[in-house]
Amino acid sequence: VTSHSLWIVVAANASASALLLVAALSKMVAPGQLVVALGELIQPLDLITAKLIRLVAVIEFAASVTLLFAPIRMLGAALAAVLGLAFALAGLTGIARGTQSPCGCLGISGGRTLGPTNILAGVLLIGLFALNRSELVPPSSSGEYSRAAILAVAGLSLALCLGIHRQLVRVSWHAKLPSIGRATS
Amino acid sequence: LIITALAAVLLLLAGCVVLLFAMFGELAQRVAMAGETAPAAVVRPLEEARIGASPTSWPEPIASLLEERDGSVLLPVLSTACGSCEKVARQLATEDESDSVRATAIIISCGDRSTGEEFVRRHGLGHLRTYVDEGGTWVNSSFGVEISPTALVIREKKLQTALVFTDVPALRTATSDPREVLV
Repeated sequence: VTSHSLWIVVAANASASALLLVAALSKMVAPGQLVVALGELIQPLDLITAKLIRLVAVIEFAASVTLLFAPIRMLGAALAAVLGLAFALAGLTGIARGTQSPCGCLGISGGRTLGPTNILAGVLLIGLFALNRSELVPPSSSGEYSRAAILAVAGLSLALCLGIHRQLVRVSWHAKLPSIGRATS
Repeated sequence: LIITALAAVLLLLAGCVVLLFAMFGELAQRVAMAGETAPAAVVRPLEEARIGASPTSWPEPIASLLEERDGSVLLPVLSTACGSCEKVARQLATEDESDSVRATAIIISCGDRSTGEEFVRRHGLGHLRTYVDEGGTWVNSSFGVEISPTALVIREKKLQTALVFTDVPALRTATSDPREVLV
């Protein structure tokens, strides 16, 4: 086991963890769009509720956190793989049924419907399980792994969040017309 | 251990920022939806506008439209940061072809050009005459207008009136007769 392979696992797990963290927190705050998008695909309609979406968010959050600590990262990788399978299935169903509703994935309002991106994310998360099974992290590197993973996730989740909400950031930064509220008051 | 604890604190802060942005995103969407369902169609003059102002230079495509229409045009000003502008943009994009529509050019006030162009694309305004005004600089310096959606009624290349509005059909009614436009 080389130090290179340790950093590969850290980079892969941290990327997945950041993705899951942003997805989980966005679902917690605003499950509405995904309820509509999944409701269009899965019958009966009332099976998909905001409560169910928030439960998925809790699993995503648990997977995100457990991926950060070497001794329990396999649990995180297993949870991520299960979520990955669900994402890929949702993407496939979205393509098969020609869904029109934006999924609101990662808190992106409007935008993409369930489809190829979800399949790709799902496959990568399943691949993460295989990577973690390959014992590339020696027990002696546990501390080093966790420190690096936690720092990487902090940075990556911030970058991902700013990337997703860049429109909001740009508008807030440059806005010179104080129009919200005033024009309609 | 200290480094791990510091890293954990950093992650916690990052999580809070992510959560905050998720909330802002949701709020922005709800504000936009509230704008869509606003029941009253408001059309009122904007007092702080510089009535009678005539800029020394007009940007394209407004300049060519002024030439075509003998100096009388309607210029709705929309902002990419404004909730009710979303609804107005959709109404403008789906208007039937008419003489008053042909005498209209839309000004998109935005932080930067790409945001304005994205707004035009997203609302299907590409088939209409649009001018992307970065930072709202031209509108603000020429007419003293800082509020959107506002419609600039231009007669003989001068600002006859500026009307704050929330509904395009109501604006068309208010500006249909030049002699009865609110000033």
